[in-house]
Amino acid sequence: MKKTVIALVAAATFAPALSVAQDKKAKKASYQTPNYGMAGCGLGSTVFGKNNSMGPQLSAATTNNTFFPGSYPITTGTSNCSDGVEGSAGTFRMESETFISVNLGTLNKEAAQGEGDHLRSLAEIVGCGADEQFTTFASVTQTGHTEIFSDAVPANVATRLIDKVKQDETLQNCVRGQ
Amino acid sequence: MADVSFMICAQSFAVKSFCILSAVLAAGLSSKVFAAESATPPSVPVQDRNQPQAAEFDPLEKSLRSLKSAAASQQWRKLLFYMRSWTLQHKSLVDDPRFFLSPEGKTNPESELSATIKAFTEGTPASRQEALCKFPARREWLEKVIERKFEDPQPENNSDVCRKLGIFKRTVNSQKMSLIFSSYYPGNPGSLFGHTLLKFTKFTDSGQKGNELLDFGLNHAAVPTTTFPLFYAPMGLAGMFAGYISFMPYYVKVQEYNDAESRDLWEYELNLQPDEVRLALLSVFDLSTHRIDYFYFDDNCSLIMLAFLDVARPSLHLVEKFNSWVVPGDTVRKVFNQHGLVSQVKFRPSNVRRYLHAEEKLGEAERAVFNRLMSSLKQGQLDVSPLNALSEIQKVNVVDTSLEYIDAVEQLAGTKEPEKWKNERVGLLKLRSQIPLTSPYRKVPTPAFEAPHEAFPPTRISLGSLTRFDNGRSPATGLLIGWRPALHTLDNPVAGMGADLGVSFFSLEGMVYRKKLYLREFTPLGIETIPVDRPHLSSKSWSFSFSYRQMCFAGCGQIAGQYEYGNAWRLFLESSRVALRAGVKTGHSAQSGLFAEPLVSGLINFPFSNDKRWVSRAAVSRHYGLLSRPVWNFDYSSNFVLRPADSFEMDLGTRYFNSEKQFFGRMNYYF
Repeated sequence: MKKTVIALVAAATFAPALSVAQDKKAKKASYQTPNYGMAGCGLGSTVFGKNNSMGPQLSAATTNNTFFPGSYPITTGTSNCSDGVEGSAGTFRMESETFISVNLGTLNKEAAQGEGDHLRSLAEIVGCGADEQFTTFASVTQTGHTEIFSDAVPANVATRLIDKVKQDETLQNCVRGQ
Repeated sequence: MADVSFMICAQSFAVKSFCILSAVLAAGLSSKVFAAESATPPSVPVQDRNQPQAAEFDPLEKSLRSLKSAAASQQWRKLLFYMRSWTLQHKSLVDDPRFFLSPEGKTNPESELSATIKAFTEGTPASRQEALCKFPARREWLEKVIERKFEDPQPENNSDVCRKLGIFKRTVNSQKMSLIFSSYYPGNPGSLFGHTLLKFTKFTDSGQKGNELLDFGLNHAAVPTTTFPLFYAPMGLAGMFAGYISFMPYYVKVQEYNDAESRDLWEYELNLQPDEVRLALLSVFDLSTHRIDYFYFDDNCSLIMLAFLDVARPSLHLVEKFNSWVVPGDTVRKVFNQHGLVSQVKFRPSNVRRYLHAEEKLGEAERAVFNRLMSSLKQGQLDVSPLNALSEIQKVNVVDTSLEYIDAVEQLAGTKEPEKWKNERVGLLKLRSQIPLTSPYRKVPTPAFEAPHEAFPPTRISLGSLTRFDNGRSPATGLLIGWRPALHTLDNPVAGMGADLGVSFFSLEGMVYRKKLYLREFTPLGIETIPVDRPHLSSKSWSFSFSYRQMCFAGCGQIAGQYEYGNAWRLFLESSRVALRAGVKTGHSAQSGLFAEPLVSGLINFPFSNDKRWVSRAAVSRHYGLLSRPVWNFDYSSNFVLRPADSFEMDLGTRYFNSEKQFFGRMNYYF
């Protein structure tokens, strides 16, 4: 009842909006059984904001404007490609790549600064998040910054970053997924 | 074992609701009789009285007896998102029929419970397993009620939903929840009233809390077919958008709100038990892709978040606390006011606030260099040579502040690259990485007056009087009655809202004069922003409104849309403002027919304290109507607003409209 009254008031106020009402019917009809496919596998780039093209998968379940009803709304940011086998190289790789993709601009800055909670989170994902490890991790990513971030392709950044970290004697043992 | 008894029940009686009744009756019978009457499949062992554990404890009887109370329990109703409608009937918020296993499930909790048990215990092993995978929260709770576990008929079932549940359970481990409020944002019609989401704190296998960014965020949003404000709001109101939840790493939401939209995030950490959090988390999986039609003002993101808090702890009854209008900031206030529920309030600043804080902390020499860098940056020729005059740590401060500035202006998030200053940013990053110092932790202080839980309740009713004095006419007085469901206008106290944004929605005021009722004002939507310039960041003041208004005492109503654009400045105090704008009003009135009215307006908004303020407005305009000669209009008003008690406000003022002079006084009550 309440909704009907509100709907009527709204309709009377903004009559033109009614012309768009058919959209909803069309949408309802085309909405099919849930497809339990998670976003997250094979991420390209992820861009937020009004006028930008979005990364095709994660962003599909990301912002208010681009949520596709057909896709499964749950993404763990980790293991969607490798079936969630914990600790596998694929899972680890996916997890870091997803994180780098979503936070690329911020990580670029924090790596140059040698500090920041995004950088700390990345260290945690990589496996070197303990305090004394992080200090070394941050210094590796600061010294290697120009090389690691030499392009803006998340997969490449992930590869170069993990390579750099593995080259460090004190860190090579904490890196996950080996 | 538990599935046995329910299977018997469901097989014996075709009608599901009857099943519940019979279960209750059966509980009254001796279990011997019941067992004898039941034809059970040979593969399933029936309760055997001779077995030792049955002698000391009769789980069958116990579970059947508890079934009736189970359907009536708050927890079951919350798990299915039932609400009481105004006719006191149960109705689930979920609009997707696939969420219900019974055809009457949307309105009948008992029928749905019986159908759920049937699905868990009857049918092929594959169908039972899928039902168990699809609704893990219902399963978990039922098992707790009957004190037994459902058997997994196909533990290795690799259907999509079972596989996803496995991943979900393995990767998402949480014992803590927070309510998150994303601050007001006039740039997007869906965000005018703020937004709420839930955060599930991630715990590692060893029970440690990880970095907050790796937590999980639960969001509910409409899938709008348009974002054009004029369509968006009414369509949202009328439930024309479908709403869905989404669940993803919290860092995605942080990038989205803090960085892409420059909104602050407020976190209210909740004092919930780990098993309460666990059930809410599983019910996220239960709901998954099932649709909840989105109503802008009630079935919105905030109500769904409250519904999940109710799942965690049904005795909170948060959903019931909102019967008509659900304003996100107001849900935060109500959650905060639950005794002992909120354990901690945290603040995560937007990119703009990070920049402003870094800039504010610059020392004198640093600021001078920073300003030189900024002016060269804006001229497109970034010159970093002034940095040479500084020490290493000073360089760090200036370069970091410059980077925060670029990121804030460009609203950098995700993989987005700067549009204006791509090379400049790369250059500054390189320069910064070559200074082997770590940046100091710059904690942005929690801003005063902006915590959403400190805000006024949004709904206002008002009662007052209006007296007109006009040359040659005797004074006339009318009685004013007003109602405004939301949200906050610039003459309200700033607490919880900040000083820069006013939003009024469905504001109504009528006047009784000589036994007749006049509509004085109806504003479906009015927005006014008065942000002030900050160092190197200029912002504009603008307003938009669509309304019906009586311009004079009575009999000169007009429907008009009005748009103004200009600038605002700070006046003496941090939260006081003066604004100057130019704009145009177009609309229709009885006297003029269609009209257009260019105008210049000014505003002074001066809070003496959070409880007392003076607001003054003036406008000069030229009115061009199809049916009338062009005229000048002068409109000036001045009010003094004070708040003697928490939810009360007194508003006294005067208004001059051309030759007419009005005095008015109102008592406002907020709830």
